[in-house]
Amino acid sequence: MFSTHLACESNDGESSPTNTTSTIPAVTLRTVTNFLRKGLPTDYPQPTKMGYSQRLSKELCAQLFCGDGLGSQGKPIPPLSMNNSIEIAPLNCSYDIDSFIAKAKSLSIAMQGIRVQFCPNPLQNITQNIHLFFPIPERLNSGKLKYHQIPVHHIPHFRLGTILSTLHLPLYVFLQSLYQHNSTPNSYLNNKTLQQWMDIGFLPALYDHYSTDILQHLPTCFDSAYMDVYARSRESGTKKVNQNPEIGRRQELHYFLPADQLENIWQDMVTFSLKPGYN
Amino acid sequence: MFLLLDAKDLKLITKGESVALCGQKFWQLLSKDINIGKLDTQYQYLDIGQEVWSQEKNRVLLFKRCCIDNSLQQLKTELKGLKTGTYTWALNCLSANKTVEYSKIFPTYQQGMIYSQSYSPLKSLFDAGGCYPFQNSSLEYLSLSPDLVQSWQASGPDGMGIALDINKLKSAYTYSRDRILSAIQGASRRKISFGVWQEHRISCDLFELLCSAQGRIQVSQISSAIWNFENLDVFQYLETNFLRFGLGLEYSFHGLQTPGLGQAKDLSRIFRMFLQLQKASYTNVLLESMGDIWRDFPTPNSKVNYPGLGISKQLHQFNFAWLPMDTINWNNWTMGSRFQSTSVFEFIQIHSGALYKTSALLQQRTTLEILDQFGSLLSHINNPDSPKTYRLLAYMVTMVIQNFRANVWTALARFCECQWEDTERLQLAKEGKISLDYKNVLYFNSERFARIQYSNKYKYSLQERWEILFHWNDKWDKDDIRKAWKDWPYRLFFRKCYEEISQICGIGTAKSWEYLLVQTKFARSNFLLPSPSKHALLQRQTKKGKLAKIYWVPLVHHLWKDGSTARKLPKRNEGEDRWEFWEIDYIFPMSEDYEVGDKLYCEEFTPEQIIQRVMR
Repeated sequence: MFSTHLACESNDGESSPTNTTSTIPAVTLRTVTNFLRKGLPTDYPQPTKMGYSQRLSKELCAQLFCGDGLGSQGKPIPPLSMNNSIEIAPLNCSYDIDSFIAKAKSLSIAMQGIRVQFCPNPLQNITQNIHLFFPIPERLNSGKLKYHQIPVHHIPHFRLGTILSTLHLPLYVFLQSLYQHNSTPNSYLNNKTLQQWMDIGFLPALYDHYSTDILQHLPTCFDSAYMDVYARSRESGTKKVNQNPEIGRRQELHYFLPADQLENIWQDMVTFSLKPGYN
Repeated sequence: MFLLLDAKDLKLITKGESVALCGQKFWQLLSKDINIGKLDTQYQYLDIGQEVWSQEKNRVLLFKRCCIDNSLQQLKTELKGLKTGTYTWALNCLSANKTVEYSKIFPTYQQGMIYSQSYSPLKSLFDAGGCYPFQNSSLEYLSLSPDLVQSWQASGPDGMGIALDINKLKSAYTYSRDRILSAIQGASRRKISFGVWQEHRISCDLFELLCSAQGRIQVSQISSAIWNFENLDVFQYLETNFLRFGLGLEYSFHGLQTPGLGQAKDLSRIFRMFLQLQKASYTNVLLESMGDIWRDFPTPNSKVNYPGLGISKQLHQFNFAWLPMDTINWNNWTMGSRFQSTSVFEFIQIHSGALYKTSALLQQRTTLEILDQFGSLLSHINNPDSPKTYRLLAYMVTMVIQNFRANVWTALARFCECQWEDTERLQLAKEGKISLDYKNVLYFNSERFARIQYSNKYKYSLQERWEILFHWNDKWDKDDIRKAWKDWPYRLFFRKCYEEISQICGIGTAKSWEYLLVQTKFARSNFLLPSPSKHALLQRQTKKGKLAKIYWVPLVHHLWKDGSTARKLPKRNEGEDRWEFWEIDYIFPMSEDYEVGDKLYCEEFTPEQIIQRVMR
């Protein structure tokens, strides 16, 4: 499976010479570069300026764009080639794990605690195709359930925060029952949904399990968390953020939740998600 | 509800000499902070990457195109349900990247093989946290001529134009261009070497299997499937290849901005061609998706029925993207005859917010292009006294007046509700086919119009008003009263007509065209003029507690002032039928009894029909 980079039979690279040109000696990358360089005007480009006003002659254009003059006179343009004649020096090889995607069974997966945001930023959603799917049921008219494999980046979700760790580990909450069949895929949640999730589900669970010394540092409701996120830009009175790029429109505020109660909180959240109207 | 961990960019933290070693490193780090037992064993995936680089200094390795093609072919015969892509490197046929997506319904996917890609990390030179150069799809708007941009900005179907900031787009372009150049120059200065990468997204179970079989991974064989270039050769190649298309693009841009340097339509197309080529000239690109560049002749069942640039063929022949000699006529920068009557590079992507305006935008573009055609016909006839010239000039008047009416009716429709019984008439009005006379305007919404009073603060004569509405580069430019009218499309259209005529037939002809044809026709077919104002498009009368009204300026012919009630239009080609006999009417009562305004010359014909008739 992994040895797909074996050389093909014609691994000399002269992969596709056509019959007409095969008799003409090929040119190297460097020859082509030098040929083009000779033609390029020295006064182009000028940084931050767009447009070139000197006249380009017909001959120059034919040279730069059509390769006219690359071969000897009266002969067709030679094809590009590369002589790999140099004995290839030994190769080094290393491996790495670049990304890790996994489903977690509970919030207590974080052994050191998590940093959560109570007003998630939709720009941090997973928007690229990660080629993974999740089955989502659809109730057919006949009453039967049919499972569809939906691309993960199309399922409504938000970024809850990150797990405290040496590695950067963002954690996402997916609300797959909000997925709408037969409509344009959209992974974003509206504020109303987020507000319900936070105010009716998540925050009460936190208030049930953490002690006051922790709770006093957390926002009290989604609306206040939302206002806190925009406070700096709105209250500084500078409307035009472009003029002062130091001030972003949003401040991504994160709050730390210790690990000891995360399991209990997750149990509460599971109970919440099973309530009628929220599943 | 479920939780998903999605960690990225761990490459440098987990690097190891073997698959098993980096796996060990990764799990060790992870298990320090994560309760591995709480992960769903069925849903764990990771990206395993392999980098191969030369032990020699100053080298750049690249995958050989033929081997990439070959391996994909081989994979396709062995496995079902593959979606593959080959990304051509810098418009040549030597190297490419590849991606392989395994279909979710086939066993390979279910066994844990999700997605593979092999690529040259050269592209990371241009990666600014996921933002690659030239990603802004609005850059295509730079290919529009300033006239067209101006008319698109000024008006749309509902009177609102589309928001285009050409200066911003220009700086977006130069920023991308300069970023690429500085990345390449930085890499040359530091003499950076690059290897080749392959990366596979696999399930953790498959990863365990791979670790146990890591002895079977053979790296030594890969060397014959890759090129080994000197790094400076590659960097210089990328730079020159990028610059040559940039030069073509910026030269055509200069031509577009400077009137008289060439046909706007062709320069626009050439600009778009170079933009696409430049995007592909410095990095790996899925060329097959750039149809106009890639295609030679259309495939049998395709919806597209015109040939493209045919880069596929050129690559096959030269291993390099030399354009076919007949692509462009380099003497005057027009598209070659092969592409002249086709739609290649004709289309531009309208941003999604303005999509509903597309037909209006197209209409404006067509209008400007037709004017260009009239211009070339006039210079072809090259005889101011010919009846053909007269016909063309007269029809240009029709177009000017129709444009004017269309703009004014659109503005009126925005100002107040249309009360005409026949709703289809509004559409006709917006196309400029309904004249602006008493009945039409007053019945549009009688409560919202007021006749101009003698006490009005703007005491301009008719000729002065005409100048404010139609002329340019004069004393009114400094006056605020033209501010709100400046960018109206009809003004632009009139100006273009005037300039074209004076360029081709001489300034004298242009002046008499305005005086004898436009002004007289205008007075004969529109009895009402809108009154311009400082702050709004139309001067308004505002009274406390009442809806605002728009002021109208009625015209009166001096024959009508003698008290006769019937207002008959003066006979044509007689002494009375002249612009200076018309003036502003402040006092005379407006009677219902008047002769309806003139029809415009050939107004029932389309410009294309006129061109055909004249050509005959």
